[in-house]
Amino acid sequence: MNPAGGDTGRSDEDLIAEVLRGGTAAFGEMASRHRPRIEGLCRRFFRDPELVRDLVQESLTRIFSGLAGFRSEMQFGGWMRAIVVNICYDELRRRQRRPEELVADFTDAEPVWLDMVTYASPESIVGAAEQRREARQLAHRLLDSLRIEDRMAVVLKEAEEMSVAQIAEQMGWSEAKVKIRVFRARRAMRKQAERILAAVRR
Amino acid sequence: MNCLEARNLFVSFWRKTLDGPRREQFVDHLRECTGCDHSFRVFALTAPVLYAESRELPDLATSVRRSRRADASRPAQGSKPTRLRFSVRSALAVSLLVAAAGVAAYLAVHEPQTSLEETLSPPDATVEMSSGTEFAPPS
Repeated sequence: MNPAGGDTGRSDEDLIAEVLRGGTAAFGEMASRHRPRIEGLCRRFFRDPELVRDLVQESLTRIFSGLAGFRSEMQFGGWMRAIVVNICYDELRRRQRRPEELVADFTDAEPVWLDMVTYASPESIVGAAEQRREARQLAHRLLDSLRIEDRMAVVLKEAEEMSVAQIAEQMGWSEAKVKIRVFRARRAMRKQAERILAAVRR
Repeated sequence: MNCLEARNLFVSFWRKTLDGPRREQFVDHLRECTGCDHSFRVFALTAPVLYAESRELPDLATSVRRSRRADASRPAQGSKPTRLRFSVRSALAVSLLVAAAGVAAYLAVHEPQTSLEETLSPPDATVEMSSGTEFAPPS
C-alpha cells in the first residue's frame, strides 16, 4: 500500500491490476506519476491555470472510472492521452466562439515581448521565452484565434508529435482531413503572426 | 547551411538541443538570410506553447497563485463579463415576456373550438389502421 501516492516504481499494469482489485491507493501513485503529463497536455490548449487544474481533475476521474475498460494490449499512455484530448476538445467546443482578431488587442506586457521577438537576436528570444509569462500568453491567444478543429490538429501534430494516422484515429477524422486542418492552422497562425510583427514594426 | 536545413532546425534550436557547431551555423544563417530570420520570428510567437517541453511549462501551483494575484489587482476587468451576462439574461427575459403576451393576445381573439371536457376526455380506444384492420390496445 502506498497511501502517500509516492512512486514505488511498479509498472502501470501492476498498479491498474491493484486498483481493479479495490486498492485505490495504487491510483494515487498512478495519478502522481502521470499528472505532469496530463497537465502539460491541458496547458497546450488552455492558459487559465484554474481551468487546467479542473481539467486535470476531470481527466483523472475519468481515467479512474474507465480503468475497468482498459485493455492491456493498448499502451496506457496512449489510452490516457486519448481521454485527456477528448476532455480538452469538449471544453474547447463548450467555449466555442468566433476566431478573434489579435492585432489591436494586446495586454500591457505583450508589446515588450513583441519588441523582443521583432528586434532581439534569436538566442535572446529563446532565452527570454521561458521566463516571460506574456510569451506563453500571446502564443495561447494566437492559438485561440484558430478554429477549434484546426487548433486540435496543429497542437496534436506539433506539440504532441502525433502522426497524421494517430490524430485521425483519435479525432475520428480521415487522414486527408487531418492534413488539411494542420495546413490551415499553420497558414492562419503564420498570417496572424505576420500581421502582429508588421504592426510592431510600423 | 541552406534555408531548408535552417527551417528544419527551428524546433531543435528552440529546445536548445542543437550541438555547438550546428547551433553556430544556424545562427550565422539567420544573420545572413532575412527570409529565415523573419520565419524564425514568426515561429517564435507560437513556440512558447507549441514547442515548449512540458517540463518547461511553469509549475501549476505557481500559475494558480499568479493568476489569483493578477485577478485581485484588476477589479475593473471583472465587471465586463458580468455586464454581458446580465444583458443576455435581460434579452432572454424580454423575449419570454413578448412571447407570453403574444400567446395571451392570440387566445383572447381566437376562442378555443373544443370544450375543456372534449380536450381532457381520452381518445377512442379503437384505432382504425390504414390497412382497414382494427387495432385494439390491451385493456
